[in-house]
Amino acid sequence: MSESSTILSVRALSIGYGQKTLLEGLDFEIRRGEFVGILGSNGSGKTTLVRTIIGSLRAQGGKVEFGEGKGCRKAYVPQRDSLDDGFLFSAREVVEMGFYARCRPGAPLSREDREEIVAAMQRTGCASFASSSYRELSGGQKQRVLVARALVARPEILILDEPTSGVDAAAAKAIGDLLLELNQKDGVTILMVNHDLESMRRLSRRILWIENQKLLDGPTDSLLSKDRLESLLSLTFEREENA
Amino acid sequence: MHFFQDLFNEGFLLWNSLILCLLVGLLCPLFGAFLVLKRMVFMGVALPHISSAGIAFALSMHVWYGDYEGAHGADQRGLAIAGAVVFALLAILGVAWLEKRRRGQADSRIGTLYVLATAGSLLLLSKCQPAERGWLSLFKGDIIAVSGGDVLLSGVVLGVLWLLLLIFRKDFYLVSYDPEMAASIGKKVVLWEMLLHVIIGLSIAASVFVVGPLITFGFMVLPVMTALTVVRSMGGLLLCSTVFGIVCAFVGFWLAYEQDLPIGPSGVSVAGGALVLAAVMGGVVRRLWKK
Repeated sequence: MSESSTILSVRALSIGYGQKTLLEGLDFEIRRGEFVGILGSNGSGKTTLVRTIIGSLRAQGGKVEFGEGKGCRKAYVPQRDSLDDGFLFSAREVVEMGFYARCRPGAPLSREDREEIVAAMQRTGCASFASSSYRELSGGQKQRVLVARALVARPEILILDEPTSGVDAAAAKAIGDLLLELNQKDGVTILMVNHDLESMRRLSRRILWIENQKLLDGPTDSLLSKDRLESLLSLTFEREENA
Repeated sequence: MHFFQDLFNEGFLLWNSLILCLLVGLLCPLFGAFLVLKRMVFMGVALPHISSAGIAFALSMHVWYGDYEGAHGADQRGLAIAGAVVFALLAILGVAWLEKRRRGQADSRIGTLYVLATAGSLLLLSKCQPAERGWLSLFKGDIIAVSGGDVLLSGVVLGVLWLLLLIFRKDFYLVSYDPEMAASIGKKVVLWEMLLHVIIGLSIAASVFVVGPLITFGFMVLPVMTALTVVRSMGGLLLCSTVFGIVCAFVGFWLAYEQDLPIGPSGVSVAGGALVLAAVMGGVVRRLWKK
């Protein structure tokens, strides 16, 4: 399979909840190895879009296709606050869940599986708190655990919903660096919802911007240029010399 | 110490009741753990009552045809089992479906079902006194006259469901904890959730059929709540809930025997007492730990 083949194809997609349609007629493709960011204001439909793409929400119309119809391994990193704190999982048990994509229901983990879990936790920097209760971890630690969980699913495409929201700047940078490494060294395609323009500028090469029920698709440099941002956000930027 | 002396006498007549109590104490907390973790405790109160309404419905059906004597023996038990199973499954799958479609408020819906099930049961049986007596004793958790066949049937059904839940617990954890991640890695989330609901519904029906709604709810929820005050892991939760369940069931039976009390309420009260004790002791230990 060539590096530039299409891994995700979205055709005439309509999304929404119940009778309410948020976006319709969405068309875009993502190629293998791309790092694509999804931006947009609150309530614009970013999370609904990724939930529809992963199959958690039913599309109101249109089609989502992975791996040119042949499917592919995918993993999803949700907003960490969407997980229920009532469950008493350790960080390690949360990471283990990534394996359920590959093993038969009810099958126990093998020694190799356990070693892979340890390796994923070491790579994401969460091995030191593997036995800690997941619900008692900090925001940044939880996010690392969720990325480790996604890693053990061995995804060809990784879809993330605001992985750096509510974490401090250092933790956000560390998570960004890890995603860049996955993208550049391992060739994992990344589709990430984020609010942070600076980190989007640093990480992604392409942006899907949802605004006023429309999807703008373009290279990061062009879509996040100052002129374009001014018109998109209707903001007035102060000149650098006044800063 | 009459109980322990009588227990090993040949003439001890309550072996079936004791085994049934221990079975419920051992098996019900695992089903209840999923109700508690999925924040469906209120459903855990309502479902046994809805299931027992199914028994009432089945036992009173003959009255509608003008037969005031009703079915007897095996026919009656078969009808009762069918009623318990059908009502429990319809209720749990219906409520889960409405929840999925985000229609109305879940707690008001379940509350309405609960009160209508109880009122409906009493109305249905009011014209059929023999069935009403049997149903009321089941409702109160009076399980003295239980047959060996019933113990065996409920043991096999609950045991198989318990094993299924234990074997596939990690898959059930995933779809309950993070359905979006589960969907993204290709799990059939709706199918797994439906299977979980069917297992819980059937376990409630099987338990209600032999011990009634009071003991069913008591042993599904109270041991789990007690375990939650002392454990910090999922494995610990399942193990402690089971241990608390079986210990409370035994102590409840013992007290009921010694003090000539109804077995069901006695077991549930002991489980409730254990919860209060664990909560108070947990609070004291946490305070001392902080100091």
